[in-house]
Amino acid sequence: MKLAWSTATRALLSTACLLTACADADRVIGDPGIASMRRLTESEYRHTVADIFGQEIEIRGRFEPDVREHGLNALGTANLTITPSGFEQYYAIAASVTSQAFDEARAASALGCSPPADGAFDANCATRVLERYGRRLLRRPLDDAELATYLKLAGETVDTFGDFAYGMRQALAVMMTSPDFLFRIERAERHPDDPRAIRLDAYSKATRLAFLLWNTTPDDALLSAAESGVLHTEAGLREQLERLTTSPRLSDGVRALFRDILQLDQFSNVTKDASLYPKFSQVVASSAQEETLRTIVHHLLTQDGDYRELFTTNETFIDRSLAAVYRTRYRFDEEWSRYTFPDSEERAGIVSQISFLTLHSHPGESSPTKRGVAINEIFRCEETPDPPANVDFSIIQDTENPELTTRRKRLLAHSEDPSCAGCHKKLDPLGLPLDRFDALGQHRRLEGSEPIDVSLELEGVGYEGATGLGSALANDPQVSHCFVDHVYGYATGSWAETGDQEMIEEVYSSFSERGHRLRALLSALITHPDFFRPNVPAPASRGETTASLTSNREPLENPK
Amino acid sequence: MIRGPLSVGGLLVFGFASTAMAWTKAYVVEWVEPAVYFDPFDPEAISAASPGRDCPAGVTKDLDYPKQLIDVGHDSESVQKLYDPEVRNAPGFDRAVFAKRGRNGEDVYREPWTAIEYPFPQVEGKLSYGFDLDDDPATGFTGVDGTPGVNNAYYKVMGCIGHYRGHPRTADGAKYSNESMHNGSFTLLLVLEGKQDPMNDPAATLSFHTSPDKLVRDALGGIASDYSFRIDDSHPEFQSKVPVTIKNGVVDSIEPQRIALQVSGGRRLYPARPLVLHRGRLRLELTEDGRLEGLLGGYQPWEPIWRVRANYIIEVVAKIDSPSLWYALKRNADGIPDPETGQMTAISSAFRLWAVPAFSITAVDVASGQGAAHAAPDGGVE
Repeated sequence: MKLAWSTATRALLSTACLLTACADADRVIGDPGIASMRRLTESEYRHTVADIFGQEIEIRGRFEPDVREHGLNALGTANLTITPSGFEQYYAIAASVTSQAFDEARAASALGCSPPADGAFDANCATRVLERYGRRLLRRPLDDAELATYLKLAGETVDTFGDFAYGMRQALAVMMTSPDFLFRIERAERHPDDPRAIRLDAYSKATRLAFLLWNTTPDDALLSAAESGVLHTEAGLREQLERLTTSPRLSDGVRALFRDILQLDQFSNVTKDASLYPKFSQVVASSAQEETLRTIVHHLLTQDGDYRELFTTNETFIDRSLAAVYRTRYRFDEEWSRYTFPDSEERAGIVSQISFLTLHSHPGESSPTKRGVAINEIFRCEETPDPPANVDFSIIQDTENPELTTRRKRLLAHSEDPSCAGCHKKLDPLGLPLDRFDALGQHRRLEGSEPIDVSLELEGVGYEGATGLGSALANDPQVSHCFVDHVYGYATGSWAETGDQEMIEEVYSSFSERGHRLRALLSALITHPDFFRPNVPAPASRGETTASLTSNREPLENPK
Repeated sequence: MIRGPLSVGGLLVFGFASTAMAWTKAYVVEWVEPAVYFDPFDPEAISAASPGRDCPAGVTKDLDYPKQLIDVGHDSESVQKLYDPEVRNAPGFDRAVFAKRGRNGEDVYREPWTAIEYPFPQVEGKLSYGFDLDDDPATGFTGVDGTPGVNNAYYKVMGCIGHYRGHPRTADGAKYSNESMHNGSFTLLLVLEGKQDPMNDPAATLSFHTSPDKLVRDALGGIASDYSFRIDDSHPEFQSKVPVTIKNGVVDSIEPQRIALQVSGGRRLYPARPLVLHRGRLRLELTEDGRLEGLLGGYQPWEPIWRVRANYIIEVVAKIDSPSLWYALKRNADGIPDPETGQMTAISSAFRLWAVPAFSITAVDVASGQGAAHAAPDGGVE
């Protein structure tokens, strides 16, 4: 226990040092400096540990909560820090991970070298271990100072406890609490061909690619491409892009991307009135998310389908629990069966699946407004202002009103309130078409004894139900634009600003021209000359000012 | 063949449709228990020990093992030693000694006829659930609904055992076995099929099956509806098919016939065994909320009823003197005479069950490997 506190303290001091302006930190944020820092999400952390230490390693602990900005946790990660209690959690998780990775059964293969049997410290073996794991953990090679620090810690631990593997696991646990691991730090460097320009260094590029496409730390091939500098070349970049986007692991990246866009992490807060929705359970909640992600991966990657068809497809995947909610049979031929919704179910696309309908409902009833807000924010990138503080919900809540016998009637009456009309007239046409699905996404035709009216008009065009809404979303260019904005924000950790619009437009055009295929979008974005442009002012050369720089756009080497 | 909450002509729809096409509905049983009529003097009473018109002499009490052992000749001193904590808790103490209650020290769990029969309270009330199995209105109870001649001798024997007594779904024994079912020890699947209107069909069938798939609890602790269950064809002893008529949603067996099903399984007190009802009948109701519930009745062999209760544990837990139960069952058996001895081999019985909508999946469905259900007109799937 004494050692645990000791190592934790060391790590805390190390982190504090790196996060503040001490001498070591000066080295990190020196010229040209850090372009951005993004805290690893829980998903990124888990995938990284699995890739480096093995799928069998269990990660036990609580992660610091994420913060969503512009609809994405990925954007919030750029503005997150780590609290003291969070740091303790990260240290506990890291210690647990490395203790599993270097336990008695795994130590020999994990070390990859043979330290002296008497438990003495073997600097050569330790160096190889720390360099190998450090390269994957920090997503770049350890520099000499870092290596010396970790070697010293490992050596002291081995000397004290006479256990080489124990020393390695302590050193790596501390490494896993360093900001270079917990944060994706993108570093800028001077462009070798143009000292007035800066670019992301190759390891930062590799990291951005790996987390965007595979949701994990860069693999050896990607780090090697960074190390050799070939990643800075167009051919080298395209080679890696081809490799990464044709790998089955692309599905990990796509799942993480859509999990963020669709805000599926919010499921942890979802509750339902058990008396009204007894079928809802954590199993159903988990399966519902999986259904949507499987639909997306199947459509966009396996089928190489048009993104817009995610709003119109009636193809999905169901397991036994979802089959019960959809009230259809589960064939037991495999855990997840492909399923085509019959026309009578009136379902179209992912907004008519259980995940979306459940997530954007009240615990006890569906909510056309919440669904409308979600569609507007998630798929149209339009934020909805909070309702006025003095808003009067009495009309909506009065279910005994003999004149206003349905949700639709009450909502339309409520939207006549001038202070509410602005938003509701925009949002309700997006949510009301889904009102034949209850708060658990189960199909229904009646509200009490009245048929549920799902006919709407949006911008002069009439449509009906989920199928009509799906077609409207699919044909709305803003929806595709919004998706490009989200992918850009997710990839870079920054929301597209005015200065990025030229790139966004060019990427959107390419996406559109190539049938709204996801791989086309990723290719257009990643190979765009501005994609790896650091979001920091270019460094001032001697005798110049930042303002005098004409451009920091990165020229690709060997342009074709 | 897809069997779901309601499939009509191979197309599955929800709600009750008037149609003259082949249809199938499936249900999974969420509760099944002996149809005990609990009739306490105090209508508010919930205790199984409450005196009532059904059991004016009260319910069975803890067994007096020392008395029984001494009654058959064991010496008092050695019997008392059995209750010495040091003896009883010592390693190797064999509770089988409590079985040596035969007149000559026989094991009464094997030879119950060697035991002395002790007083065993039985139902004395006039009312019961069940059916007029012998078509003689002069025998048996009056039905709770007024039907004369209801035969339910099983209730007469078992109804004053506190473990089985109580309002519907409250008796300890029923809770124990149904909790076991809810936890996956067995699954009872019902498939209702017909060729006309599911609410009115003069020539439908009701099949009893087991399934390898466990029940799923819902958020209220009940059994979730609309889940899918494979039919297990490997246990014919748990399967049967009963011709039925359906009139305004009430399902009635047409002729008395053998009904076999599983109503217990897997746990120590009530191991898996088929319940066989000879000359069986049923009356179930399709409720407005889509459930199926009602009564089964028939003559079940009485010897297996005793055999599962021929052990020390159930004697203690359920307060049943096992050999006295044997005598009572034998004496009250009222059906299926042995062709050689004339001794009745079965006892009239009734069970009530509640079932929720489900989908039954045949081996053909699983083997088809098509995976996806295909869209079909009229809101159905193939």
